[in-house]
Amino acid sequence: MPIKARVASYFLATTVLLFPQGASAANSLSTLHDGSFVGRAFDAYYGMVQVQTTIQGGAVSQVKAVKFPNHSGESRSINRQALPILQQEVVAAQSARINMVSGATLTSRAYIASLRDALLQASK
Amino acid sequence: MVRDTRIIMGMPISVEVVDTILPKPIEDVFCYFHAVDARFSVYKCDSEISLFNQGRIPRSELGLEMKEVFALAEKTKQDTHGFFEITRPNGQIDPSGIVKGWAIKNAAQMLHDEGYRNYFVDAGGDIQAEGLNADGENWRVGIRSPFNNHDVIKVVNLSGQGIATSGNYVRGNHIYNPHRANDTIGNMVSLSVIGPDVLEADCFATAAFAMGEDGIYFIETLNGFEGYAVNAQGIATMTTGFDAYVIS
Repeated sequence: MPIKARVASYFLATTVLLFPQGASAANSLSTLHDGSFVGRAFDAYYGMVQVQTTIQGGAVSQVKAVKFPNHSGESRSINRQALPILQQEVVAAQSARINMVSGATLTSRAYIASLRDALLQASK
Repeated sequence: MVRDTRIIMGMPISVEVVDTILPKPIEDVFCYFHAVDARFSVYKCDSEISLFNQGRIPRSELGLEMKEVFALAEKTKQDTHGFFEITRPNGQIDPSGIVKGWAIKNAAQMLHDEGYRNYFVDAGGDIQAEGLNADGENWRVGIRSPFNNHDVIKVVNLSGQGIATSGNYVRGNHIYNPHRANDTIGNMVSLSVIGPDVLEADCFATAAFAMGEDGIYFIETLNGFEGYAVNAQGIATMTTGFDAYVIS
Protein backbone atom coordinates (compact mmCIF):
# COMPACT_ATOMS: atom_id res chain seq x y z
CA MET A 1 0.00 0.00 0.00
CA PRO A 2 1.70 3.20 -1.11
CA ILE A 3 0.64 5.26 1.90
CA LYS A 4 2.11 2.78 4.35
CA ALA A 5 5.29 2.49 2.36
CA ARG A 6 5.65 6.24 2.31
CA VAL A 7 5.06 6.51 6.03
CA ALA A 8 7.54 3.73 6.72
CA SER A 9 10.24 5.23 4.56
CA TYR A 10 9.73 8.65 6.10
CA PHE A 11 10.06 7.36 9.63
CA LEU A 12 12.99 5.14 8.77
CA ALA A 13 14.79 8.11 7.30
CA THR A 14 13.98 10.05 10.44
CA THR A 15 15.25 7.19 12.59
CA VAL A 16 18.64 7.39 10.96
CA LEU A 17 18.56 11.15 11.35
CA LEU A 18 17.68 11.02 15.03
CA PHE A 19 19.90 8.15 16.09
CA PRO A 20 23.10 8.76 14.15
CA GLN A 21 25.28 6.91 16.69
CA GLY A 22 22.91 4.39 18.19
CA ALA A 23 20.94 3.34 15.14
CA SER A 24 22.30 -0.18 15.12
CA ALA A 25 18.94 -1.51 13.95
CA ALA A 26 18.58 1.08 11.22
CA ASN A 27 22.17 0.45 10.11
CA SER A 28 21.76 -3.29 9.79
CA LEU A 29 18.45 -3.68 8.02
CA SER A 30 19.84 -6.64 6.06
CA THR A 31 19.93 -8.69 9.27
CA LEU A 32 16.29 -8.12 10.23
CA HIS A 33 14.30 -11.27 10.88
CA ASP A 34 10.90 -11.75 9.29
CA GLY A 35 7.85 -11.33 11.48
CA SER A 36 5.88 -8.69 13.32
CA PHE A 37 7.53 -6.75 16.12
CA VAL A 38 5.83 -4.39 18.53
CA GLY A 39 8.03 -1.67 20.00
CA ARG A 40 7.74 -0.51 23.57
CA ALA A 41 5.16 2.24 24.18
CA PHE A 42 6.67 5.71 24.57
CA ASP A 43 5.10 8.72 26.17
CA ALA A 44 4.33 11.46 23.67
CA TYR A 45 2.97 13.75 26.38
CA TYR A 46 -0.55 13.64 24.94
CA GLY A 47 -0.60 9.92 25.51
CA MET A 48 1.30 6.77 24.70
CA VAL A 49 2.57 5.94 21.23
CA GLN A 50 3.45 2.40 20.20
CA VAL A 51 4.24 1.02 16.76
CA GLN A 52 4.32 -2.40 15.18
CA THR A 53 6.62 -3.17 12.29
CA THR A 54 6.33 -6.09 9.92
CA ILE A 55 9.49 -7.49 8.35
CA GLN A 56 9.24 -9.49 5.13
CA GLY A 57 12.25 -10.82 3.27
CA GLY A 58 14.54 -8.97 5.67
CA ALA A 59 13.00 -5.59 4.87
CA VAL A 60 10.39 -3.44 6.56
CA SER A 61 7.11 -3.99 4.75
CA GLN A 62 4.79 -2.15 7.12
CA VAL A 63 4.87 0.19 10.07
CA LYS A 64 1.68 1.00 11.90
CA ALA A 65 0.75 2.71 15.13
CA VAL A 66 -1.00 0.23 17.43
CA LYS A 67 -1.42 2.80 20.17
CA PHE A 68 -1.72 6.54 19.71
CA PRO A 69 -3.21 9.46 21.61
CA ASN A 70 -6.90 9.94 20.97
CA HIS A 71 -8.71 12.84 22.53
CA SER A 72 -12.13 12.23 21.03
CA GLY A 73 -13.53 11.48 24.49
CA GLU A 74 -11.94 14.57 26.03
CA SER A 75 -14.13 16.47 28.45
CA ARG A 76 -15.28 19.85 27.26
CA SER A 77 -13.86 22.36 29.69
CA ILE A 78 -14.54 25.49 27.65
CA ASN A 79 -17.99 27.00 27.31
CA ARG A 80 -18.13 27.72 23.61
CA GLN A 81 -21.38 29.67 23.93
CA ALA A 82 -19.40 32.45 25.59
CA LEU A 83 -16.69 32.61 22.94
CA PRO A 84 -16.60 34.27 19.53
CA ILE A 85 -16.98 32.30 16.31
CA LEU A 86 -13.46 31.92 15.02
CA GLN A 87 -12.46 32.26 11.38
CA GLN A 88 -11.88 29.01 9.52
CA GLU A 89 -10.21 28.09 6.25
CA VAL A 90 -9.22 25.03 4.27
CA VAL A 91 -5.48 24.53 4.58
CA ALA A 92 -3.44 24.70 1.39
CA ALA A 93 0.26 24.42 0.60
CA GLN A 94 2.00 27.81 0.47
CA SER A 95 4.98 28.68 -1.69
CA ALA A 96 6.09 31.95 -0.06
CA ARG A 97 9.78 32.28 0.86
CA ILE A 98 10.53 31.24 4.45
CA ASN A 99 13.46 31.37 6.88
CA MET A 100 12.43 28.45 9.09
CA VAL A 101 9.55 26.09 9.83
CA SER A 102 7.47 25.46 12.93
CA GLY A 103 6.15 21.93 13.32
CA ALA A 104 5.48 19.29 15.93
CA THR A 105 8.17 16.84 17.00
CA LEU A 106 7.03 15.40 20.29
CA THR A 107 4.80 12.61 19.09
CA SER A 108 7.10 11.69 16.27
CA ARG A 109 9.98 11.30 18.74
CA ALA A 110 7.94 8.80 20.73
CA TYR A 111 6.91 7.12 17.46
CA ILE A 112 10.52 6.83 16.37
CA ALA A 113 11.63 5.54 19.77
CA SER A 114 8.99 2.81 19.60
CA LEU A 115 9.87 1.98 15.99
CA ARG A 116 13.56 1.78 16.90
CA ASP A 117 12.70 -0.61 19.71
CA ALA A 118 10.69 -2.79 17.31
CA LEU A 119 13.58 -2.82 14.81
CA LEU A 120 16.04 -3.78 17.55
CA GLN A 121 13.83 -6.75 18.40
CA ALA A 122 13.70 -7.72 14.74
CA SER A 123 17.51 -7.61 14.50
CA LYS A 124 18.14 -9.89 17.53
CA MET B 1 25.40 36.02 9.18
CA VAL B 2 26.07 32.55 10.59
CA ARG B 3 23.67 29.64 10.62
CA ASP B 4 24.03 25.98 11.52
CA THR B 5 21.92 22.94 12.45
CA ARG B 6 22.83 20.11 14.82
CA ILE B 7 20.93 17.10 16.13
CA ILE B 8 20.72 17.48 19.91
CA MET B 9 18.07 16.15 22.32
CA GLY B 10 16.88 13.92 19.48
CA MET B 11 15.83 16.79 17.28
CA PRO B 12 17.31 19.24 14.80
CA ILE B 13 18.34 22.50 16.44
CA SER B 14 18.99 25.46 14.13
CA VAL B 15 20.47 28.79 15.06
CA GLU B 16 20.99 31.83 12.86
CA VAL B 17 22.64 35.02 14.04
CA VAL B 18 22.50 37.84 11.50
CA ASP B 19 24.74 40.37 13.23
CA THR B 20 27.99 38.38 13.28
CA ILE B 21 30.27 36.44 10.98
CA LEU B 22 31.87 34.48 13.85
CA PRO B 23 30.79 30.93 14.71
CA LYS B 24 31.11 31.50 18.49
CA PRO B 25 27.53 32.57 19.32
CA ILE B 26 25.93 29.57 17.66
CA GLU B 27 28.55 27.22 19.15
CA ASP B 28 27.64 28.62 22.58
CA VAL B 29 23.99 27.82 21.93
CA PHE B 30 24.73 24.24 20.83
CA CYS B 31 26.91 23.73 23.94
CA TYR B 32 24.04 24.97 26.06
CA PHE B 33 21.58 22.50 24.50
CA HIS B 34 24.05 19.63 25.10
CA ALA B 35 24.23 20.64 28.77
CA VAL B 36 20.42 20.76 29.02
CA ASP B 37 20.16 17.34 27.41
CA ALA B 38 22.70 15.84 29.86
CA ARG B 39 20.63 17.12 32.78
CA PHE B 40 17.02 16.69 31.61
CA SER B 41 16.90 13.77 29.18
CA VAL B 42 14.67 10.91 30.31
CA TYR B 43 16.33 8.89 27.52
CA LYS B 44 19.70 9.04 29.37
CA CYS B 45 19.89 6.84 32.47
CA ASP B 46 22.53 9.03 34.15
CA SER B 47 20.78 12.39 33.65
CA GLU B 48 19.75 14.30 36.76
CA ILE B 49 16.06 13.70 35.98
CA SER B 50 16.62 9.95 35.54
CA LEU B 51 18.58 9.72 38.80
CA PHE B 52 15.75 11.61 40.52
CA ASN B 53 13.16 9.24 39.03
CA GLN B 54 15.24 6.26 40.19
CA GLY B 55 15.21 7.69 43.71
CA ARG B 56 18.97 8.19 43.67
CA ILE B 57 18.73 11.98 44.14
CA PRO B 58 16.29 13.39 46.70
CA ARG B 59 14.16 16.38 45.72
CA SER B 60 16.04 18.59 48.19
CA GLU B 61 19.33 17.97 46.39
CA LEU B 62 18.10 18.80 42.89
CA GLY B 63 19.98 21.54 41.04
CA LEU B 64 18.58 25.05 40.69
CA GLU B 65 17.71 24.53 37.02
CA MET B 66 15.69 21.39 37.79
CA LYS B 67 13.86 23.17 40.59
CA GLU B 68 13.12 26.09 38.25
CA VAL B 69 11.69 23.75 35.62
CA PHE B 70 9.55 21.93 38.21
CA ALA B 71 8.21 25.28 39.44
CA LEU B 72 7.47 26.41 35.88
CA ALA B 73 5.63 23.16 35.20
CA GLU B 74 3.51 23.62 38.32
CA LYS B 75 2.62 27.18 37.33
CA THR B 76 1.74 26.07 33.80
CA LYS B 77 -0.44 23.30 35.18
CA GLN B 78 -2.43 25.92 37.10
CA ASP B 79 -2.60 28.30 34.11
CA THR B 80 -3.99 25.55 31.88
CA HIS B 81 -6.63 24.07 34.20
CA GLY B 82 -4.52 20.97 34.77
CA PHE B 83 -4.05 20.15 31.08
CA PHE B 84 -0.28 20.55 31.42
CA GLU B 85 1.21 17.77 33.57
CA ILE B 86 4.79 16.49 33.82
CA THR B 87 4.03 13.72 36.32
CA ARG B 88 3.19 10.50 34.53
CA PRO B 89 0.55 8.04 35.73
CA ASN B 90 3.40 5.81 36.98
CA GLY B 91 4.70 8.64 39.17
CA GLN B 92 7.76 9.33 37.04
CA ILE B 93 8.52 12.93 36.16
CA ASP B 94 9.07 13.75 32.48
CA PRO B 95 9.77 17.46 32.05
CA SER B 96 10.37 17.16 28.27
CA GLY B 97 7.16 19.06 27.58
CA ILE B 98 8.54 22.18 29.20
CA VAL B 99 12.32 21.83 28.88
CA LYS B 100 12.46 22.46 25.13
CA GLY B 101 10.72 25.84 25.26
CA TRP B 102 12.62 26.78 28.41
CA ALA B 103 15.96 25.96 26.80
CA ILE B 104 15.13 27.89 23.60
CA LYS B 105 14.14 30.92 25.66
CA ASN B 106 17.37 30.73 27.68
CA ALA B 107 19.50 30.27 24.55
CA ALA B 108 17.86 33.33 22.97
CA GLN B 109 18.47 35.32 26.15
CA MET B 110 22.11 34.19 26.08
CA LEU B 111 22.49 35.61 22.56
CA HIS B 112 20.82 38.83 23.68
CA ASP B 113 23.18 39.12 26.65
CA GLU B 114 26.14 38.69 24.31
CA GLY B 115 24.91 41.74 22.40
CA TYR B 116 23.18 40.16 19.41
CA ARG B 117 19.81 41.54 18.32
CA ASN B 118 18.90 39.72 15.10
CA TYR B 119 18.70 35.96 15.42
CA PHE B 120 16.50 32.94 15.83
CA VAL B 121 16.78 29.71 17.81
CA ASP B 122 14.74 26.77 16.50
CA ALA B 123 14.60 23.51 18.43
CA GLY B 124 12.49 20.85 16.77
CA GLY B 125 10.15 23.37 15.20
CA ASP B 126 9.65 25.60 18.24
CA ILE B 127 11.23 28.97 17.58
CA GLN B 128 12.20 32.23 19.24
CA ALA B 129 12.77 34.92 16.58
CA GLU B 130 14.34 38.27 17.45
CA GLY B 131 15.02 41.35 15.35
CA LEU B 132 15.17 40.98 11.58
CA ASN B 133 16.38 38.41 9.07
CA ALA B 134 19.37 38.84 6.76
CA ASP B 135 17.15 40.69 4.27
CA GLY B 136 16.11 43.22 6.91
CA GLU B 137 12.57 41.83 7.17
CA ASN B 138 10.68 40.26 10.01
CA TRP B 139 11.49 36.56 10.22
CA ARG B 140 9.33 34.51 7.86
CA VAL B 141 8.17 31.34 9.56
CA GLY B 142 6.34 28.52 7.81
CA ILE B 143 3.88 26.31 9.66
CA ARG B 144 4.44 22.72 8.60
CA SER B 145 1.56 20.73 7.17
CA PRO B 146 0.50 17.95 9.53
CA PHE B 147 -0.39 15.90 6.44
CA ASN B 148 2.77 16.24 4.38
CA ASN B 149 6.15 16.84 5.98
CA HIS B 150 7.40 18.77 2.97
CA ASP B 151 4.54 21.27 2.78
CA VAL B 152 4.05 24.56 4.56
CA ILE B 153 0.41 25.55 5.07
CA LYS B 154 0.87 29.05 6.47
CA VAL B 155 3.60 31.68 6.48
CA VAL B 156 3.75 34.18 9.34
CA ASN B 157 6.15 37.02 10.13
CA LEU B 158 7.66 37.31 13.57
CA SER B 159 9.98 39.72 15.36
CA GLY B 160 10.39 39.50 19.11
CA GLN B 161 8.04 36.52 19.39
CA GLY B 162 8.08 32.80 19.85
CA ILE B 163 6.08 30.19 17.96
CA ALA B 164 5.46 26.59 18.95
CA THR B 165 3.48 23.85 17.26
CA SER B 166 2.00 20.83 18.96
CA GLY B 167 0.65 18.01 16.93
CA ASN B 168 0.13 14.41 16.35
CA TYR B 169 1.37 13.47 12.94
CA VAL B 170 0.92 9.78 13.73
CA ARG B 171 -2.78 10.34 14.13
CA GLY B 172 -2.69 12.58 11.08
CA ASN B 173 -1.88 9.51 9.02
CA HIS B 174 -5.16 7.96 10.03
CA ILE B 175 -7.19 10.34 7.93
CA TYR B 176 -5.97 8.36 4.92
CA ASN B 177 -7.35 5.14 6.32
CA PRO B 178 -10.86 4.65 4.93
CA HIS B 179 -11.71 2.06 7.60
CA ARG B 180 -11.14 4.49 10.43
CA ALA B 181 -12.33 7.67 8.77
CA ASN B 182 -15.16 8.26 11.19
CA ASP B 183 -12.89 7.95 14.21
CA THR B 184 -11.01 11.12 13.50
CA ILE B 185 -13.76 13.58 12.62
CA GLY B 186 -13.19 16.78 14.48
CA ASN B 187 -9.86 15.65 15.89
CA MET B 188 -7.11 18.20 15.94
CA VAL B 189 -3.83 17.27 14.31
CA SER B 190 -1.81 20.47 14.68
CA LEU B 191 -1.95 23.57 16.84
CA SER B 192 0.49 26.47 16.50
CA VAL B 193 0.74 29.24 19.08
CA ILE B 194 2.49 32.61 18.71
CA GLY B 195 3.33 34.51 21.89
CA PRO B 196 5.80 36.91 23.48
CA ASP B 197 8.20 34.07 24.18
CA VAL B 198 8.55 30.52 22.98
CA LEU B 199 8.39 28.96 26.45
CA GLU B 200 4.86 30.19 27.11
CA ALA B 201 3.83 29.58 23.50
CA ASP B 202 5.10 25.99 23.79
CA CYS B 203 3.40 25.30 27.12
CA PHE B 204 0.09 26.73 25.93
CA ALA B 205 0.30 24.91 22.59
CA THR B 206 0.94 21.63 24.41
CA ALA B 207 -1.90 22.11 26.88
CA ALA B 208 -4.32 23.45 24.26
CA PHE B 209 -3.59 20.51 21.98
CA ALA B 210 -4.48 18.15 24.81
CA MET B 211 -7.85 19.96 25.07
CA GLY B 212 -8.78 18.77 21.60
CA GLU B 213 -11.24 20.98 19.71
CA ASP B 214 -11.51 23.33 22.68
CA GLY B 215 -7.82 24.19 22.55
CA ILE B 216 -8.06 27.04 20.05
CA TYR B 217 -10.81 28.65 22.16
CA PHE B 218 -8.51 28.43 25.18
CA ILE B 219 -5.79 30.27 23.20
CA GLU B 220 -8.41 32.87 22.21
CA THR B 221 -8.89 33.68 25.90
CA LEU B 222 -5.17 34.42 26.45
CA ASN B 223 -3.94 37.99 26.09
CA GLY B 224 -0.91 38.30 23.82
CA PHE B 225 -1.25 34.82 22.29
CA GLU B 226 -2.62 33.80 18.91
CA GLY B 227 -3.21 30.34 17.54
CA TYR B 228 -3.79 28.35 14.34
CA ALA B 229 -5.37 24.92 14.77
CA VAL B 230 -5.77 22.29 12.03
CA ASN B 231 -8.14 19.35 12.27
CA ALA B 232 -7.95 15.96 10.60
CA GLN B 233 -10.16 17.16 7.74
CA GLY B 234 -7.69 19.90 6.82
CA ILE B 235 -9.83 22.73 8.22
CA ALA B 236 -7.92 25.42 10.11
CA THR B 237 -9.39 27.57 12.88
CA MET B 238 -7.55 30.73 13.91
CA THR B 239 -7.81 33.14 16.80
CA THR B 240 -9.10 36.65 16.10
CA GLY B 241 -5.67 38.32 16.13
CA PHE B 242 -3.78 35.67 14.15
CA ASP B 243 -4.30 37.44 10.83
CA ALA B 244 -1.94 40.22 11.88
CA TYR B 245 1.00 37.79 11.59
CA VAL B 246 0.02 36.19 8.30
CA ILE B 247 2.11 36.69 5.14
CA SER B 248 0.31 34.00 3.15
